[in-house]
Amino acid sequence: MGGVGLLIFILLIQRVLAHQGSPSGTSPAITSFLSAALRWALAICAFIVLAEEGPTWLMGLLLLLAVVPNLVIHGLVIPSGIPGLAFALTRALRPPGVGTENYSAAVLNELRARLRWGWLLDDERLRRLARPLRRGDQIDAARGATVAARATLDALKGDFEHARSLFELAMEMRHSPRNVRCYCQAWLLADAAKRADYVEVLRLSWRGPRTRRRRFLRACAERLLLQELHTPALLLALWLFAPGRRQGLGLLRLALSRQSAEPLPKPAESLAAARDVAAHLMAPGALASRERVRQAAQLWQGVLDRGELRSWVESRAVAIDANIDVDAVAARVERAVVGVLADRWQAAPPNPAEDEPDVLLTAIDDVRSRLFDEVEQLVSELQTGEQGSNGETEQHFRRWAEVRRLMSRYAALFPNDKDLFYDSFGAHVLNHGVWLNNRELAYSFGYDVFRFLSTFLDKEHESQALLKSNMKIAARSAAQQ
Amino acid sequence: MTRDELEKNPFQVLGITPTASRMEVERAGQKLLAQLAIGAASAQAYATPFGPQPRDESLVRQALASLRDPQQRIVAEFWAEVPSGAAPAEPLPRWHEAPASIGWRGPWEE
Repeated sequence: MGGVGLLIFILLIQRVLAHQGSPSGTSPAITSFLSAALRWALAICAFIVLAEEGPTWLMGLLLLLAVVPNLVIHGLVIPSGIPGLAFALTRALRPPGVGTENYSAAVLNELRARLRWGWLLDDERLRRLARPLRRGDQIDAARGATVAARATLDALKGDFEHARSLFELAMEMRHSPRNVRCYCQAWLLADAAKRADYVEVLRLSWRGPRTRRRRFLRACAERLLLQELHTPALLLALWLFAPGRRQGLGLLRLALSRQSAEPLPKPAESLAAARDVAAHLMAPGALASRERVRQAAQLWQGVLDRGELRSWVESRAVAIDANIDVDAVAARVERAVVGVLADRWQAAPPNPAEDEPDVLLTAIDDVRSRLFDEVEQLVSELQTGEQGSNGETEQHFRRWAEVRRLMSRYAALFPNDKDLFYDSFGAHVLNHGVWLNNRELAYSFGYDVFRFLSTFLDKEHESQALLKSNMKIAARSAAQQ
Repeated sequence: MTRDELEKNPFQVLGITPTASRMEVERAGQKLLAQLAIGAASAQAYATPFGPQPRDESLVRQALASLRDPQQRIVAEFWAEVPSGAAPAEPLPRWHEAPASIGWRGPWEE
């Protein structure tokens, strides 16, 4: 009776607090106290009911499970895939202190539960389910779960490009619970493996939470890319410990069927061989390591240095009796080759080397300037300074997610150019973080901007002190939301 | 240069060698257009370095237009010399069960 009374009392306090305007206004101390008290009350109720004789043990067991909500939601409710249950239980079992974010977590869990069996996923039902996310337009309450829920909805609509950047943001945000970060990472890894983009699997496996799934996929990707031929015993062990074993068996088989590295053919030093190697690199899904790209570039460098391409164009112009600008045509072919090398270099697993041929350096510059242009365009759209708020949470975190993804890609490709990159865009991005923090009160996103810039730069960089102090302010403010 | 451009090389679309004369190019193009108009099976596909590709009238007309411009013709000649099957597709295998492995049984279409 005591436990039930305590429970009713605490639930009443929760109700009262939830109706006092924004639940986010509740002090973190009260939230923590309520959360702990609620669990204690539930535990007491459970033990009292369990101690009684009769068929009440099931009730007691259910109450006991409610003491550990995450275990129940992620271990039982979501895998069961019963529509509506995940939403209701997430709302019921979690304290109201994180305010509207609680709705986002409920929507995310409900989406995940529905995805288990593919039920109730038509547009109208998804629109209705996403309605509570509108409350997240009060940007101060939007955190990792909101971003992950939006990403899931984007993916369900087939908008994978936006979904990827949002999942990446939610995977790396500090204000994302571990289960959300793990889910986002699992989605990104699955997406890359489904596209056979194992280089991306490797890139992702160096970031985010350390999970058994991540280890298994990384080992498989390394073997498939012939970077490291892990032994079958190790792959088998990683597969056994990773979740989703039944489906993982397919990937395990694919990885084990990859036996050894194909020997790189030694092409002849001729224009025809250089052309065929470039065509080889363009083959769909061809495995192009940086070593292979470098070999192709060296071959092309020789061809260009010897003037073979120009001579060939000249001879063909004479053969077809055409009056053409030989240099322009040769330059056009050369540009095409640089384009091929740039695409393949960007897609190949990193493997830095010195003394790259000039033609490859041109290709690398091509990649750099392409990325720079893309980032410049996106960064210029980030709001800063005295610009007013439009109250559109989604716009802000979507734009930041895209900028963040491109900057991460740039840092992975050009680790030595980070300072230059920061000098070009860092101040504007930093000001956007300040704007999010001061004008929008979006502390969790402001924190993410500062933290991202801080990890982007060397530890000794002069801006680190400013970034660290901003991080502290944003983190403190976010904790009080 | 993209894979798409290599696959749509005008010489390969028309099924002729890079040394073909202007007359041969026109003849091959007109012959293919006539065959496509009556739905001849032999005209429906052509060989590329990455395997056979479907052929249609617009592709043939585009190829003819490119080969009438000498500059475009020489660039096309260069890439047309990559022999069919010289760049065999060796795709890395996809992990089709990936979505199901994370409990995603809803639509997964980009």
